Amino acid sequence: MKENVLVNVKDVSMNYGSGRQDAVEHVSLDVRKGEILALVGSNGSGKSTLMKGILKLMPITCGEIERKKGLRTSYLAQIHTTERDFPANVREIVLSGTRLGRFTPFYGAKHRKKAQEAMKLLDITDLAKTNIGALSGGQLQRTLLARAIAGDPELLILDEPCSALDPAITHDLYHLFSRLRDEKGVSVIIATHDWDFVREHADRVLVLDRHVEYFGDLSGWSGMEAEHTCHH
Amino acid sequence: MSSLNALLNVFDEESLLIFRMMLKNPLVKNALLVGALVSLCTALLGVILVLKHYALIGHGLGEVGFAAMSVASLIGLQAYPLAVAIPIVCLSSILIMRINQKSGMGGDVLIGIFSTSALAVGVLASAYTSGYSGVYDSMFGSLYAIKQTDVVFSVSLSVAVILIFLFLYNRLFSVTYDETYARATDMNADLYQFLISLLTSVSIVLGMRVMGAMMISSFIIFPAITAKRIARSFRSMLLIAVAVALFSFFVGMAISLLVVSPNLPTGACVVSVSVIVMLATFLFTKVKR
Repeated sequence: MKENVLVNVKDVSMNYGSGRQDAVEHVSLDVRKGEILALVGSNGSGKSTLMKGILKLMPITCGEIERKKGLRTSYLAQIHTTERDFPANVREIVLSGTRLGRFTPFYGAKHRKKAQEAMKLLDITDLAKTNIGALSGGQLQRTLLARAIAGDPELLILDEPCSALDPAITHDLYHLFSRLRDEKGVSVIIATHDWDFVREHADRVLVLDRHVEYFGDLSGWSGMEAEHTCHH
Repeated sequence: MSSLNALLNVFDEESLLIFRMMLKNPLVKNALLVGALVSLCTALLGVILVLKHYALIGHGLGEVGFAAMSVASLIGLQAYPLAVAIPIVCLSSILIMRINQKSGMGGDVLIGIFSTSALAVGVLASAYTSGYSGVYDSMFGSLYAIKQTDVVFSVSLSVAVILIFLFLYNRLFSVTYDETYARATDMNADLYQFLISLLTSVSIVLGMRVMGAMMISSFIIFPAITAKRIARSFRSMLLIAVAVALFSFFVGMAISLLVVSPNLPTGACVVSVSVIVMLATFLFTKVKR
């Protein structure tokens, strides 16, 4: 695997049980260090499934997914399976995203600092002591995003992260993803339906319809203009 | 102290005399120690199981434990009930969690399958050995079934559970709150799930000897549900659950020892106290925010 590549997906297929149609068919791609890769496709096109494959949350049925050794990943799922009346506040949830060493049982000053920085980035510092049951959908989304960032990831995998957010916060978050890429060299894979985001912030795009329809620089995607027109 | 005397005045002299004598009985002392330690362990484990919607696993495993002990008697291993029951219950617990994870069948369905099958096996095995009086003791517990081995196991179990909760607290928090995220960040969620399954199984086998197979799941559910109502953090939920469990156990045990006629099963007394504590908490507290 090349030095600047974090993940290499080679001819991968995945399904939700033998005998069922493949959710992802013979997909190949690579994720480079410090890039924003947009996954675009209609609902059911396999974006979430592919992300789960890269994160080893779901087995692949054929092909191979190679990851850089010791790759630090963080994830924001599209559908939260977390319990709303879990007894914890925002600070505890964000802190739980920081990584403990193998023989480190407790969080130290370093972990608390990372959690504090992530809360500041997501503008939720004033919610630190709020119980998560009292958060709005958007506040919870920002809390979970702060948790993902607090883990100091090399690869951030975001499944439609702005679907519950208003346009102003969405705009801020898009700039935050670009800052993470530019200032910290974080790679971001983001599933989205927002072509404005793709045009303004993504380095490469993967258009998925269970199989790869297009993968590469934005300039090479002939369907983009049509999609762009369609959304305006 | 005066309130304790007032409570004790409800009972007649003879009951109190028997109560005091029973407290000096080594068997009762063992039952108190084992029950208290198991209450502590199940309260801690129960918090995780309740938050992860696995609360009924205690009920299912209690019945698997009953089946294992009945079969042990049938094949002549009645002198080693723990040696037979602990591995079988551990295996069942791991199987339930693994099948649930892999097949998506649903934890409630799997627990239903395991518990009713185990109940049938246990009742059939008991019919050939101790008859239905044996079934009654296994189902509702007996103070006099506690042996020195149970005490040794309980102390070891409690030490293991307390150390695990102390040193793996942050990891247990992460896996309990969001297992998918924990896996996505390369945390070994399977290891923690395995540990919880193993410790829950051992706690249940030990606890069912005092509480009975039918009542043991209350050790897992009631303290955790009561604590969830008022706790504002995972840590406080664990501490409140332990306090509720120990209070319910000691009060329930005292009632079962004080009431001589009829002979009240300890398990049922402890569960009744747990229910009253839970209802009182729900009545007199607001949902935390």
